[in-house]
Amino acid sequence: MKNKISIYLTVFAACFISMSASAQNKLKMELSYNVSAPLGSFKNDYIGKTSFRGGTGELTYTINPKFSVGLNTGYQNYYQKYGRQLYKLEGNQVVSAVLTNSMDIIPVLLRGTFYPLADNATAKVLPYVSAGAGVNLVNYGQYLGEFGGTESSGVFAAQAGAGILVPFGQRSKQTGVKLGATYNYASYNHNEISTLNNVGINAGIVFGLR
Amino acid sequence: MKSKNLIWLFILAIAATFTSCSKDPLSDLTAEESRIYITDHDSTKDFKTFQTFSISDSVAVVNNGQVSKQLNETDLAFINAVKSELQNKGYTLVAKGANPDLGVNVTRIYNTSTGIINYSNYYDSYGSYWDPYDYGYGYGGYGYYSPYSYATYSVKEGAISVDMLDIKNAAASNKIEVIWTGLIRGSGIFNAATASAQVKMLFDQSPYLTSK
Repeated sequence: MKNKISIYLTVFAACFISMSASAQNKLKMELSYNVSAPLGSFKNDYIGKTSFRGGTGELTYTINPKFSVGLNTGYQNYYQKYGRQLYKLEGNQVVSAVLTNSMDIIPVLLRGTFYPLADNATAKVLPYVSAGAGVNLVNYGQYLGEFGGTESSGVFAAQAGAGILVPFGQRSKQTGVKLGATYNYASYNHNEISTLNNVGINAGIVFGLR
Repeated sequence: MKSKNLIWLFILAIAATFTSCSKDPLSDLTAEESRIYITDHDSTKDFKTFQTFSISDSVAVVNNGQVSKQLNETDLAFINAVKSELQNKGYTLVAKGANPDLGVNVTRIYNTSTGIINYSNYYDSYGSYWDPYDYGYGYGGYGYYSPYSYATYSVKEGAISVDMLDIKNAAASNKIEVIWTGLIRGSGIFNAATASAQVKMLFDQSPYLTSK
């Protein structure tokens, strides 16, 4: 686990150092750490805990300074263990068990981002709003004690987001820090869960590729 | 060229994130937390109508369908634990020959299958584990009847089953009915030190099981 994080950080640093210095890259990349809090039925019926295990990446094509579109993907792992409790099964069957719920979400979204102040040369901070839609690859896991398993599926997903981009130094280098929040909708209905909606808070970097 | 490398680095980075972030539910469980205790019963039976019970003095070991009778330290701990739980519930222990109302069997079940096991199969051959004639309740020739089939889960190791049989009404119905059953599954269940705590779980979640 620690080892993998260090690999990740090394790769992350390598990306950062080797970023292109050429002006006005059309293709950019964004890498973010993401914290996500389940909402609604996802929170109330399955996992109440906020997930600190997640990240997103996006390959972004700049159409003009104000608009860009990107292919956004990532990963978020939700997990909660509930203390020993009695659960009713079919008929008169009762089971005493420690229940573990887990959920992995891999979004694959096409996302558009709008920077209203991008043509203002003096702006130090660029606010943005974004909207995306696509597919969430979902891995549902439930265990009674050590018995259980996972089920995978793909569901429709949509996202709305807002935040700020703080460019480093010269704006033309297109490198910066991005901070934002997203509201994520996913149409999911499985056993006790009727929604996978969640709110994410992300922090990451953006850099030009070419 | 440079950008191609970057795309590979991007993919690597995301892949590393994918595998490092996930929490493995099974590695986050203690042996105690890994165990499940399942009970089932015939809700049409009034358990207050039974007063006495007799319990097997050995354990049937069902190993991939092969049966043997055994009695080790752990088996004895389980038998004694069931005995004292039933006495706590107000039932009186009597000898097998003394017309008990209830018969109680403890069975160890092993299956090396890694797939899905349906525990209804366990009851299908019940007569071969606990032969009604050999067992000495005096009802040789009757078959067993059990309406239960456990929910299916993937199997990691063995299970312990405690079954309660209606001997009192066997003659009237021409069958020995299993009227209560408890199943223990999970890590480290075959342990004399924790036998009584495990058996207590089964009885604690069955409040209807009382002679009074």
